[in-house]
Amino acid sequence: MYNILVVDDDKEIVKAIEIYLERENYQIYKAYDGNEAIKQTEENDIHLIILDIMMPNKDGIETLVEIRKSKNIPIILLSAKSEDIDKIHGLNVGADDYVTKPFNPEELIARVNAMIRRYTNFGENKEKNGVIKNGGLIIDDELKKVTIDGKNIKLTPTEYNILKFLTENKGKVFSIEEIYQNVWKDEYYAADNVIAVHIRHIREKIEINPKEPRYLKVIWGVGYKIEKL
Amino acid sequence: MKKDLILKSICYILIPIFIIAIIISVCSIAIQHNDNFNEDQYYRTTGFVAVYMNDISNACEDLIYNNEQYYNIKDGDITIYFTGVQEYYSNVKDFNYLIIYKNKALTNVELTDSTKTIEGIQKYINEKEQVKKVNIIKGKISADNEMLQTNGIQYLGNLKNKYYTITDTETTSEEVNTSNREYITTSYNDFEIYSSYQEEFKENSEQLMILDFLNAASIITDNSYVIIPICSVLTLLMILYLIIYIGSDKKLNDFDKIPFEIIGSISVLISLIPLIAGASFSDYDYNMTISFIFTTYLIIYVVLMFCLTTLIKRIKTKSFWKTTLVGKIYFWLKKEFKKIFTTLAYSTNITAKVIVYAAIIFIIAFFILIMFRDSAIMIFLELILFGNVLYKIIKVLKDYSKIENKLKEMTQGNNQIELNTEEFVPELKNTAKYINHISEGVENAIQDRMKSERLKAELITNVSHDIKTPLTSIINYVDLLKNETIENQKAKEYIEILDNKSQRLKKLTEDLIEASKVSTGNVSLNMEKINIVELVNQAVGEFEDRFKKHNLNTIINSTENEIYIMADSKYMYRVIENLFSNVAKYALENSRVYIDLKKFDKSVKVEIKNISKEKLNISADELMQRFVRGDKSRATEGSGLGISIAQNLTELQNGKFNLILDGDLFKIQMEFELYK
Repeated sequence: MYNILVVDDDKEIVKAIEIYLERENYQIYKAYDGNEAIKQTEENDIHLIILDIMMPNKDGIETLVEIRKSKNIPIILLSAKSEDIDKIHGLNVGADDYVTKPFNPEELIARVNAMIRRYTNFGENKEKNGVIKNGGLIIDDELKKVTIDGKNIKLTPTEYNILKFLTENKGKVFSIEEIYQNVWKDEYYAADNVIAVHIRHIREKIEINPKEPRYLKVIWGVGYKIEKL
Repeated sequence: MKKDLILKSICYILIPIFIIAIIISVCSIAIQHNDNFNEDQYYRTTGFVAVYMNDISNACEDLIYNNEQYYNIKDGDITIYFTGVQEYYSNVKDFNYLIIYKNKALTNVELTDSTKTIEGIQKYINEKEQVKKVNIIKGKISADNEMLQTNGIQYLGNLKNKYYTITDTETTSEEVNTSNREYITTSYNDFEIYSSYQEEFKENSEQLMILDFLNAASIITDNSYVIIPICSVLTLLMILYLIIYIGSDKKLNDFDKIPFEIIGSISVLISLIPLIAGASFSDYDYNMTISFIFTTYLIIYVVLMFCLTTLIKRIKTKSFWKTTLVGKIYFWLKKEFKKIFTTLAYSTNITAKVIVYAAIIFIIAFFILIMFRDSAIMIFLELILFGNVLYKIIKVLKDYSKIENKLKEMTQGNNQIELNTEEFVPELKNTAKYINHISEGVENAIQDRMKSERLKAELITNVSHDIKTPLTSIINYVDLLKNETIENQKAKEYIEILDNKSQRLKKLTEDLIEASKVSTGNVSLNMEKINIVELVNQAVGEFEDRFKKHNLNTIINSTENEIYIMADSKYMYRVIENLFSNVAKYALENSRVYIDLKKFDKSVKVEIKNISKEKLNISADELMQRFVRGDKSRATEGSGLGISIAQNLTELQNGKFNLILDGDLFKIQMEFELYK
């Protein structure tokens, strides 16, 4: 049983999140402003915080900074601001994830689950031959098994090969042509979107929100890469 | 004020006295110590000649009336009379003479053994040393003195006279009855005169007068070395005081307003009166001369003081030129000319202006030709005139090019630089002014528009954020409702609608924020080298499923696999994404979508073509506007912002965006510069 603190000045939103998360068997603590959130964090053994940015009195960013002084628990920021600059700012001051309002409830739940899994399993995985690891993404080449934040992912052989190739060369960007040559071991003739389709399928399987991928990033007009985590 | 007046009066009185003292002192020093006082020069004056001839004339008269008391001897036919030394009187020193008239001779040379004859006396006079000699024989003068030589004849007129014989010596001249008299008429031709004299300064009457005067003013002349410096300093001080004091109230009285030329002329005339009067004096009388000189001096002094006082006042009030006739005429002419030229310069009809200007130049040129036709001045003046015209033309052309530059700047959207109207020729001043007004107006309009656009964008963003929070609840609770077990089929249907519409509202809000930001250019671009072919392939990959759903077949035609452009990777994808999304929504099902990439020398053209599902009954321009969609009913999903965002983003990335509608053919054309 994990304890999750939901902080938002909008009580209905807190209530909705509570309903969703209780279904996933989480213990919910609620707070409606920053000061209450800090108090709750100190009094209870909280495993994850969902924190709204725009709140009266003490805003989410201030609260985040204050909590981060003593606790190293995962924090997911919640905001109506969707601009990149807001996201970057939030992540820079110590947030682990950023969800924009209005959010998809399933996406939020998926992110919470992933975060909890990663947080609790951290350092649990023992080194094994043929295992490629990047953040929450683990590829066991012997078993041809892919897990993301401890969750099993089913991939087609082509998808698996592409993901393996990119993960082996994580952080490096590969164009469609390069991926084709490396995965198919064949000559690339004409511009094709087969690879692009595969990549999208992989993203849909491994990413919580394929449009905002965490692992498999699209560099438009250049290629694809697995983000080094 | 009263003290000033007394001081002023003292100055006016003392200045002439001091100046006179200085003059006298200077003169006395000059006479006493200066060799410039050439004695010889003075013997050449008419004064001396008059005195000398007067003596000769007297002697002649003595001879005619041969005085019985004269000591006389007989030399042949000629009787020599001798006027004794005791009777010797003359203004001329060492004056010896021998006058022969008919058979009589008169001399003042002492009769000795050697001078008992005419020859002897002649010899004595001619051989006497250090004296000047004058011989007048039968009307002919030979003299050492040039003045005597040339003017002697005139004075000899005195010798041409009527003498009466004295028959009765006993009777006194008063009692003589003129009717009984006998007259002798003489002419200078009748005389033979031999004379000698010694030049001596004191003998000159004018010199004498000056010396007498100097003697009389001995108080001054004796102290001249003291008087000169003291008087000079005092006079200068007083003049300085007067210069400072006069006109210090900066007020002009009526006298000061009389044109200076008139005052000057009257002053000169007044000063001339004593001089003219003085010229009529025939005799030199000591007292009269002195008083005359003083009177003249005083008159001139007073006149001069009047002139100087008013002059100083005029200069001090800076009205000298205004109070002169020349100045008055000049200022009047200037005013009139200025009036003419200003009316010309600012008159609205430029053609008329140019004609009048040209006419004036021609007239001036013509006058110069006529007036100075034979001199080099003509060429000089004509050159000046020509230069002037040339300067004006160049100035106008220069000003015109300034205006042209400004207009060029304006067409490029730069309204910052304002024309300095002061620098322009009067003819173009208004033009420059109007252009400035236009420029300012345009700039203000631009600024206003930008400001309102920005405000609008801010408003949209803020409102959108405010909408998002309640929307979150709506979406979440609709989702929760969906998961509840509801038996009522209708309720389920309604929930489905709520779900769809809330999702659409979400999309709409997000698009709205993006559109407002993009249209105001309020996005930070991260320009980098990207492969547009790769991007299109990636995008097609992303849309594969959606296209397939509508059975749309995509055909990519690219001349090359790698075409590089400079763009922001993310925003470039947004452009393609919006366009593909449009295709997915509005393209006719079971049709083909063509994506053509054509590389040119400097650019790449990206063309997306599809067949519209609906009949397009609006223009391309309208379609590109925000919130306008192909179907006016707005029945389908989408915000109507997709194309507008795509267009704005394309232009922000220095690309060209064009939408062409040809029947049901929907064509988007984009052009980007190639990466170099």
